[in-house]
Order: sequence, then structure tokens, then C-alpha cells
Amino acid sequence: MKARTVAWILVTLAVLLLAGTAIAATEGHAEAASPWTTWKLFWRVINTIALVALLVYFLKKPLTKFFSERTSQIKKDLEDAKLEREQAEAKVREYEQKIAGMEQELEKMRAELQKSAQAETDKVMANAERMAEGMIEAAKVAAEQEVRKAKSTLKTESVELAIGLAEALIRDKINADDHKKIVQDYLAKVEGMK
Amino acid sequence: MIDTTLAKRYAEAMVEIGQEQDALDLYGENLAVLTDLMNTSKDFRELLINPVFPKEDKKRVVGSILEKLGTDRMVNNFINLLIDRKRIDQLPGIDMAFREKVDDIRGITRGEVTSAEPLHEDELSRVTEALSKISGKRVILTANTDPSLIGGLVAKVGDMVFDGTISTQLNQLKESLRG
Repeated sequence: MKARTVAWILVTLAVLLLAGTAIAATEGHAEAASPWTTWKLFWRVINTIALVALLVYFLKKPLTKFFSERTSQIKKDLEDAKLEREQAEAKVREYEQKIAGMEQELEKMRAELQKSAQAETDKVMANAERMAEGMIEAAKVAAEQEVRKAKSTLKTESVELAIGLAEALIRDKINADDHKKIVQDYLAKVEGMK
Repeated sequence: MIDTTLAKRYAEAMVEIGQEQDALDLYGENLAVLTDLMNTSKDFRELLINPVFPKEDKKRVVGSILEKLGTDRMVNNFINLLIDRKRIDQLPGIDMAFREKVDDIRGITRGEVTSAEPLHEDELSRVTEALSKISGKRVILTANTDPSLIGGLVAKVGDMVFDGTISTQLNQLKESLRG
């Protein structure tokens, strides 16, 4: 607001000064080289000087203040701009560091992932090996059991067959005398007991 | 279903009376006849056991049968007591317990001998004598025949078993061969 007022005052004074000069020039053409004209010119000069003096007197402080403030503002703006630039540069450096750090982090993560994947693979492989060993062992046991079972079955069947044949043979061959002898043997054993 | 404890209690009471009356054999025979009738005649058994028939009807019918059989009056009363107390279904158990008790009093033990071929009298008496010596009691054997034994004989007295059969020897041989 102050700057605007000062500008208006300056413009008004300039217009008045130019108008005075123009009138003087016009009149100068009409009444050239007369004493009155010289006197009038003198007063105009005085008038101009007075005007300038007045202008200087009244406008020096506001103008000085205005330009001083303006200078301070420009300095401040420059400093702010510098500060902002520094901050921006710091940010840039920070982001660059972060990006570099991220790359390192990514590399670290990649390495960890690879390590984890390898560990998992090793674990799966170990489990698979254990399972395979277990299955082989179970198959061996089952096979052994089957063999034992088959042997047992074969033995049982052989025994059954042999005993069956023996029984059939005894039934076929046994006679009354044999019965009597068996009973006598039995009686001898039982009578021998106490 | 036979309640052995209950049957023994009734049998002991009957034995005591039999000893007092000196009629153990008579009571034993009467009880055996009735038990045999109960086991063989479905109608008689149904009459005694079925709760549909009134006690008095049971007593009347059983009384007439007992009269025809010529059973002792004490046995008749005993049967009526069992009907009154709804214990008549225990008669076979009581009969068995009575015989065991009487045998015990007389130092008798019963058993059975089973042979592949019928035993001669002298063979049976030799077995009986030998088992009597071993058990320390007078042994009464029931002889049976079972051809599946192939040869030899087996005698059972109480908890003792004397097995001399071919079939058992073959089975033992079979077991030993099986391992």
C-alpha cells in the first residue's frame, strides 16, 4: 500500500514538472530574450528547485525506507531462496543416500531370500530323504513280514498236511491189539503215578 | 440261569435233612429224576418256570406227577417250597450241588473217562483204582466213547486230566513242529 502511494506521488510530481517545463518552453518561443522572460525563467528555476527540495524533503524518508525495506526484502528473499535451495539439495542428497541405501537393502533382502530359499530347499530335501528312507525301511519290514508270514503259512500247511497224513495212516493201520496196547501203556503210566 | 450260591444253599439244607433222615441216596435219586424230567420234558419245564401259571396249579400238577414217580414226601415239600419262593428254575443246580455235597461227605469224587474204543470192565476198574489212589478219594467214573480220539483214552477227575490219546499226541506234535 505504501509503495503504491509513493508511486502515485512520484507520477503526479513528474506530470507537474513536465507540464511546467512545457509551458515554459511554449512561452519561451513567444517572448524570446526579453528581461521579463529571463526573470520568469529564473523564478521557474527557483520554483523547480524549491519543488525538488520539497520533494526531496518530503519523499526522502519514505523512499529511503521503501527502498531499504525493498532491499531487505530482496535480501531476505534471496536468503530464503538460498536456504530453500540448500534444503532442497539436502533433500536430494538424503534421497540419493536413501536410494543408495535401498539398493543395499534390496541386495541384502535378495541375499536373505536366497539364503532362506536355500535353507527351505535343504529342509525339504532332508525331509524327502528321511521320508524316502522311512518308506524304504517300511517296505523292507513289510517284505520281511511277508516272507515270515509266507514261511509260517507254508510251515503250518506242511505240518497240517503231515499230521493229517499221519492221522489218516494211523486210523488206517490201527487195530484192536494196538488199542489194547495203548490202553495198557496208559494204565501203566497212571498206575505208576503217586 | 443257575445261581450256584443259591443252589448250594438249598442243596446244603436238603443234605442236612437227608443226613438226619438217613435218606441222602433217596433224596439224591428223587432230585435226579425230577431234574432229568425237567431237562427232557419241555412241557414240564414250561409248567414249572412260566410265571403265567399260578403257584397252586403248579403245585397240584407237580404233586400228581411226584406221586406217580413215588418221590419222598420231604422232596415233595422241598419242590413246593421252591415253587412258593419262585426258585424252581434252580432245581438242576440244586441237584448238582446236592450230589457234590453228598460226594464230598462220602469222600467221593466223580469223573469221566473217554476212550476211542469201549473199555473192558477190568480196564475201567484199573483206571478207577489208579485215579482213586492219586486223588485220595473214591472215584466214580462215567465211561464214554469218542472215535475222534483215534486211540487211547483220557480221564478227567476234578481238576485233574490224564490224557493218553493219539489225537492229543498228534496235536502236541503239530504244535511242536509249528514252533
